[in-house]
Parts: sequence; C-alpha cells; structure tokens
Amino acid sequence: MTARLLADQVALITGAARGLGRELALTFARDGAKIAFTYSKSEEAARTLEAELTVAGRGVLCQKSSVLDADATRSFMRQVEQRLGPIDVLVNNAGVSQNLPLALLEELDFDNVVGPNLKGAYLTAREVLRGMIRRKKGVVLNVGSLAGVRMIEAPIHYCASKAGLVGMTQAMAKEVARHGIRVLCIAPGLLEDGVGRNLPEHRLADYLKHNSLGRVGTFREVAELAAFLVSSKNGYMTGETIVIDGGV
Amino acid sequence: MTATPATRLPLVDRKFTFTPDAASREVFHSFSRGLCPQCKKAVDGVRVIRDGKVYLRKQCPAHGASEGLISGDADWFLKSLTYVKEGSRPLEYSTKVERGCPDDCGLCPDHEQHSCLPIIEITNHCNLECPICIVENRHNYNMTREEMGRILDGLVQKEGTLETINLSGGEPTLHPDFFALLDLATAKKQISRVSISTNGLRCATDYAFCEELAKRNVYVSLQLDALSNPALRVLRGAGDQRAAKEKALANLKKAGVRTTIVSTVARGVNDDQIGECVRLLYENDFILSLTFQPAAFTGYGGAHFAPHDPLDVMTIPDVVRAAAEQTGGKLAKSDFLPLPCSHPSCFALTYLLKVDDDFVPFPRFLELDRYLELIANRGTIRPDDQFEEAIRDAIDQMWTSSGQVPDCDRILGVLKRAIFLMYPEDRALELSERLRVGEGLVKTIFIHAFMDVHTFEVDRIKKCCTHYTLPDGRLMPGCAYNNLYRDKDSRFTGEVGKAQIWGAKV
Repeated sequence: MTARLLADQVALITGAARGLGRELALTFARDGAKIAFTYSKSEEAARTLEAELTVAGRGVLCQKSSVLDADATRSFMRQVEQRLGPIDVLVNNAGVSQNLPLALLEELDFDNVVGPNLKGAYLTAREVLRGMIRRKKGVVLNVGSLAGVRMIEAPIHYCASKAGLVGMTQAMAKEVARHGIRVLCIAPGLLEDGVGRNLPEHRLADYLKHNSLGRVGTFREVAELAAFLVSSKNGYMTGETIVIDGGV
Repeated sequence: MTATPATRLPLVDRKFTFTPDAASREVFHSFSRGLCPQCKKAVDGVRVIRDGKVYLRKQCPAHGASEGLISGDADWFLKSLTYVKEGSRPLEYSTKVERGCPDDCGLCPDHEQHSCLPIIEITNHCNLECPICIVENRHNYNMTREEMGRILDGLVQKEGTLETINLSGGEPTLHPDFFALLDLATAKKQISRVSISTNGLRCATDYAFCEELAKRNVYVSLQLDALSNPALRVLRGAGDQRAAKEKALANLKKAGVRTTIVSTVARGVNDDQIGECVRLLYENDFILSLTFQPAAFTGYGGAHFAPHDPLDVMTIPDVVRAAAEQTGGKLAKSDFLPLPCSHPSCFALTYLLKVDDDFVPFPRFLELDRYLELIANRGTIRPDDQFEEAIRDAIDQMWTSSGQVPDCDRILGVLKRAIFLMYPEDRALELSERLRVGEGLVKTIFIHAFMDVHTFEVDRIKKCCTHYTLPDGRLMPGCAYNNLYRDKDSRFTGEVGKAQIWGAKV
C-alpha cells in the first residue's frame, strides 16, 4: 500500500473555517495529516469543519484567534504540540480583501488588510519556525495571490500584502534553509468563491477572456497542489512562488 | 502621428442663437411632420421659436393650420437637440416599410430604437374614469393566458433579454386572472424586472395583495399626481382619492414593495405639486423613482378633460423649472439632461445619490461627459464597466479637487459605504442583491413627455422606446398607438362593457 502524501504530519492552517483554508484542511487530512486550524469569525463553519475532520479519524484542534495576536498563536501552538505533536507544516492562509480604489483607501483600511495578510503571516511563521528550527524540519507555505505577482486590476493594499508575501517567502527561505526548512508561496488566480467572488460581472468576463483555460480555478485544484508542495516528495523546492491561474 | 483634438463646441452659443423672447417676434427653426388635430393625417409642419418657447405649426390641406407648444424653454430645446445617439435595433421586426412613418407601426425596419420598456395592457377594465386618461377604456377585454404567453415569447424573440416590462391597462389589478398573468411574466428568466402600473385602489384596500406583489419582487408604478383632493378630482374624478393614495402608499411601504410614483402634470391643475412629489421620493426608501408625465391629451382625456389650450401645456423644461422652484435648491435645471438614446424631446432624467438624509444629483459630482455616457442608452443604472468607470472617475475627481465639489467628503463617504455594502468581505452577493443595494442608494427622477395630436412629431416617434405589445406580435410605439391605432385595435372593438366603478363590488 502506498504511503499517504502527508502521513503523520501535523499541519497548522490559519483562517481555515471557510474557503480555500477549509479545502486545504480537508485535503491535507485526506492525505494523512493531523490538522490544527485557526479562524477569526466563522464559528459555525469552524465547528462544521472540526466535526468533518474528527469523522475523518485524524487528530484535530482549532482555536478562534486573530493571526495578529501572537500570544494567542503561541498558546495555541503549545496545545497543538502537546495534543497532536510537533508542527511539520504551516500554511499562512488567513487573509482579507477589500474592494477599494486608492482615493477611498484610508490608512486604517490599509492596515486592516496588510495587517492580517502580511504581518499576520510573519507573526505566525515566527512562532512556528522556532520549533521547526529546533527540530531542523518543516515547511511553511504562504498563500499569496496572482495579484501579488502580476499587474492586474485589484486593490493596492491587497496586492501590496500579497507581493509582500513573495518577498517574505524568499527572505525567509534563504534564512532558514540552513536548518533544512523549506518556505514556499502559492499564488492562485481567481477561484470559485474566493476573494474574487465579489468581482463585478464585467471584470470577471475580462479576466476569463485573458485566461488560457477560460475558467476560474477551484479550491480543490489549489489544495491538491499545496499538498504536493508541502510534502516530502517536493523536497528540493524553496523560496519559490508557484502561480496556479489557468494561464493568465 | 498626433491625433487632432476634437473641437468642443459650446452647446448653445448666444452669439449665433436667436431665441426671440417677445411674443410678437418669431424665428423659423426647422421642418417637421406631425398630425392634423382634426383628421389625424400626417401633415408637414415647422418648428418656430417665439417668446422663448418652441411651437409646432402644421398645415392640413383639408383642415387648415394648427399650432401646439412643444417646448416651454427654447434654450432647453436647442441644447437637447445636441443629444443624439444611435439607437439599438431590435433583433427582428413585425411589419414592413410600406406607407411610411407613422403608418407602418409594429415595429417596421424604419424604426430607430428597440423596446426599452414594453407595456402589456392586460385589461381595458378600470374602476376610475379619469378625465386626464390617455387611453380609451371600453371595459370589454381581459387578456388570456395564451395571449400573454405569446406576447412574452415574442418579446424575448425580438429583444433577447429585457431589463423591464410593464403590465398596464385599464387597471391591471382588476384582471380576474391577474396573478396568473403576472407569474407568466416573472417566470421568464430573460426578463429582469416586472412592473405594474396601477391607480393604487387595490393596494389601498387589499394589504394581502401588496404582500403578494412584494413576494414576487414586482415593482409598482403608482399613479399619484398630487396629494390634494381638488387637484386629484380634476385629474382623476370623484371620491376621496387623497385618502386612497395615502393608504396605498402606506400599504406598499409596509409590504416593502419597490415603488415608482408616476405623476401626470397638467398646467394650472397640479403643476404646483411637483415639489411635493419630490419630497415623497426623498423621504421614502421604498420609493425608488419618480416619473413626471406632462399631460398629453389623447384617448378619454383628449375628449373629456376640461378645455385646454394646446399653446399653454406643460413640457419637459416646464417640469424642470417647477422642480427647481419648488424644492428650494435641492434640484436645479442643470441637474436634468435629456436621455440620449430616446428622442431628446421625449425623456429627461436625473440620478440622485443618497447622502445621509439628503440626495445629491449625479451631475453635481460627475463630469458631464461621464454622466452622458452613463445615461447614454438606458434609463436605469446597472453596475457594469461603464458605470464603474464613471464612478471611479468621479471619485478621483472629487478626491483631487480639494473641495471644489460641494459635499465631496460626504459623497466620498457614501460611495465607500456603498462599495462595502455591494462587495462585502465575507460573502458574495448575487447580482440581484447588489442591484437592490444600489436601489437604496440611487434614485431617479424621469420626465416622460407623451405626445398628443398637437405635439406629435414623426421624428420623435421613430426613436420611441416605450412600446405597447399586441398579441398579434406587433410592438406599437406608445404615442403612435394612442393617437392613431388604439381605436382600431380589434381587441376592443366589441360593445362597450360595464365600468367597474371604484368602491362597487366586482
């Protein structure tokens, strides 16, 4: 029998109650991982996911906390390590978006997006990397966006935060490579029900016109790629941002 | 190669525009073609300007000269003629060009505009005998489901998709099979909105009926010319109609029915109530728009309305002037523009953005070019690329204008809130939900001038987009049908039935 892709791995996924985070959790669990996840608002959705992961028979732990709350992250991490074991995989998935043009984008709006998307990833990674470095083992996957690597029509604070993740991925990968830890970034294009779900119809049509596969992606497609990226089968890749966008 | 910048001509250059303001002086403006008010045959005519107004003068070989006022403001008229936009053609026509406009209606390939607002008259029964009524109710026809189905299929065939259709009459709510016909219309996925035109009597007396309308997402065009009985009696006949209108408004509001007020404005009767109608629009969230219709004297109204002077009627600029005078500066003449896709003498409008407890007309914060693009081929706002571009330009303009636009900070705040409401972070809204959010933020005032035998002009009817739909497949431009075809419609030629008088048990 073939070993599962993420057998016995412990994965911490931030912002996993809904959307891509939820699909990542389910896919990683299917591939053998024990899942710890955080969420910030969606209590009911989190409970549903927790129940589904419990039924799947692997360990699961979740906590309601903001990625900007480093103390809460630290405390949750300790619980995860005690109950599920050392964290092998961190997915910095939590993120928000706002559809605002520059003229309406005030300082607080900027902070409200760049905070969770970029600073939140840094704070979480910093906590988790402490244990990974100690163990000389681990993978960090930052969930970026096509909006962070290409010049496309998207809010500047969102793009800035996602582009920031690209830079952070490279610098972090370089710094922790000597400990055998890999750091990657995945940059999806528009996904069904993702942050682009609120795109006006004409903007979606324009996007699809420039998409080689002529459709938006699915959470499942991104989650499958993510599972491979963080697995030991992908042991020689670090510092990279992998675009999955159907060919835009 | 450098492109030569387009010359921007002033809309009306006073140096070259002679609009005599003395009643005794007159200047020829252009040729036209209208109707003889007596025999209704198409005859040649001229537009002349005198006393700051525009008149249509015609000469019938059999009945001699006649004249009617077509614009109460020569400047408005001349400016409006610069608004010319190619119409959108229907996918197919129902008649051929044989005798020439307006005698080939239905539409013929000579028609210049598709159906923006098809009107389906489902009955000619009515429980009012309005002295101003533009149709001729004979109380002898109710549309069958089969006819309705045929009309709807025909509309989709000719138009593909339709933004709005309207069920009218007579009084449509008297139709014994009203909801069955309504459901046929709302079931068509190619039709975005269904509205009904009503005198409101059933809405006033039957709250459950209003709830049924709300459940079906139907828009109500409520005829409401005034909120005072003396004016309403002149226009709509006997009874305490003020009480009925107020009750109808209360029921529609309670049931959450999205409502348009339609006010027919007659000179000297209710032209002092225009500000009151605007107040109703401003103060009630469930009222999305307001349509003023300068009175046209056709049908029952042509024969029964108190004698009127065709040289002293309400026209679009007269309504605009009254709106400005009666709203204490909330509205100004410059806030209104002709609807370019229609004939400029037929439609004018302004969009209003809700800012806190007030409304700011779009032209006050949107550049004219952008505003014209926005209203170029439509009467309602859609969140498409053109709208997005226009709003983005307005935002940038206000943001960089250092307070040159009055209220710009408040307007920017409203637009930001609107974006958050229409594009929330935590869930995706359906287009219909987004439109509904938009409806709460943007209201519209339309002025729609129908034509009678005195004001009818062939060039206007060619661009008409308000079409009556007939079961035989024809789409009849509104004013052509009312003036020339309605009395020959085979559906209504039987014996005159018994009127269903308001208050009597039906």
